[in-house]
Amino acid sequence: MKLTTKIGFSLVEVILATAILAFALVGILGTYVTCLVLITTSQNVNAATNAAQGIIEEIRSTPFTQIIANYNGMVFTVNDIPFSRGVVYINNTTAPASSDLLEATVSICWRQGNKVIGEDTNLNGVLDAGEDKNGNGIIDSTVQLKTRIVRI
Amino acid sequence: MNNRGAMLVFSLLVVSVLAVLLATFYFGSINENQLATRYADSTRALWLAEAGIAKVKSNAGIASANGFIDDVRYTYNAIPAQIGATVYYNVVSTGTVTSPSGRSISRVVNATMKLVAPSSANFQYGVETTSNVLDYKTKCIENTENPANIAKTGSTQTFDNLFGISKSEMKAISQGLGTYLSGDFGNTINGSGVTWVDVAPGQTLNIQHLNGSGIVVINGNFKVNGVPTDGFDGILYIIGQLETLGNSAVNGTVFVESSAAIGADLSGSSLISYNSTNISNALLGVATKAIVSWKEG
Repeated sequence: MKLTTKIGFSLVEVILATAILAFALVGILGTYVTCLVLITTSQNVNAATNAAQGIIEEIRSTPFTQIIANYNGMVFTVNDIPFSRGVVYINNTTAPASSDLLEATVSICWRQGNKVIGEDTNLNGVLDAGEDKNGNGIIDSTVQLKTRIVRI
Repeated sequence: MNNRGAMLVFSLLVVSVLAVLLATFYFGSINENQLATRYADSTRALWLAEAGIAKVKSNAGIASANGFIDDVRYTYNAIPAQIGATVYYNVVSTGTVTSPSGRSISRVVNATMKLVAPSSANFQYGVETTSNVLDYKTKCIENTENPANIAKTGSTQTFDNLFGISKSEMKAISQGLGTYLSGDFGNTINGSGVTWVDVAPGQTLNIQHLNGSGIVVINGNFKVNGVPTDGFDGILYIIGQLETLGNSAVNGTVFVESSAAIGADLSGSSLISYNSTNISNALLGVATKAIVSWKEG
């Protein structure tokens, strides 16, 4: 039997439509991945901020004389962020120097995809050679809380 | 009916629908990311505001505190204001984080601080000594507030009772927030807040000028001269012997843990004038401060 009907799509139409869809989907997928990265970043920033705040609250509830011994240089991980590392700095040399005033800094770095958020590129909680981009002697990160604690 | 081009139109429609959905998702993600960044900056600002409160609390006396931590983009500004004529102060502290783009986020903390200074009533005399040896010319000590209380010898008051803190604590305050002097520091003591001066054992610190205000503690024997423009407002505490000469002037009180000779020279007009206001102001330097209430905003 010979097919004579012309109902349907021509080959050119199908190829053209497929090409348009494929081209669009590449762009759409790229943007979709970007969105997923943004969402993961947001989740991690929130989790890191909460964790840093928790650490500062802990420090403030510690007897003043034990703060440096217990917390200076403390390294920790954030449960909600895989491959994360936080570090605490307690400094009592802030000008004007005071034995009654400490400066606390909590920085949290984490790996996201193939890059690390923050200066601690190997996530070991230690400032290694080449990591201190701004030369301030501590690990800095997007999520970094600083405060001062006074002797009660 | 001619259906040519329908596939093309359909594919464009599908792409359009997907693009709209994706745009919604994209802007939602961007918005969420901005909220997360804002939350991080806002939390940072809150702790900067807390740093301002801590700074006011650690300062000698009661005074505003402002500055930044590490970077000028992270600032705090704490301003205390007395509540009526009470010992309570309302401290409003603002922490501000400014992003590299210039957008800033502030958080404000309001704390009520109770300021408790040692009582100025602990100091009743122009000059008070633990020794029974006090030589002075009548014109060299005055107490216009209570003329009967010009001088007292054989005092049983102790440093801890007078100031509410120990000598080592007072020295630590001077080293942290006030002025600590020792060795050869020149001919002048300019008091501010709490000043502690260590004198080498067995020696006498001999200076020409005593100025400024607050609490000055001399840990050793002390001899002071002075010119008519000199004047110290507050509490001069000597852990040793005292000798005043020339035109040295103290407006407040002097406490000596040994003997004292006021106006020891014949020609000078050294003067110690009791002043309870200056004593009260000086004692603010060792006041304890407690946060009794806290709120945000």
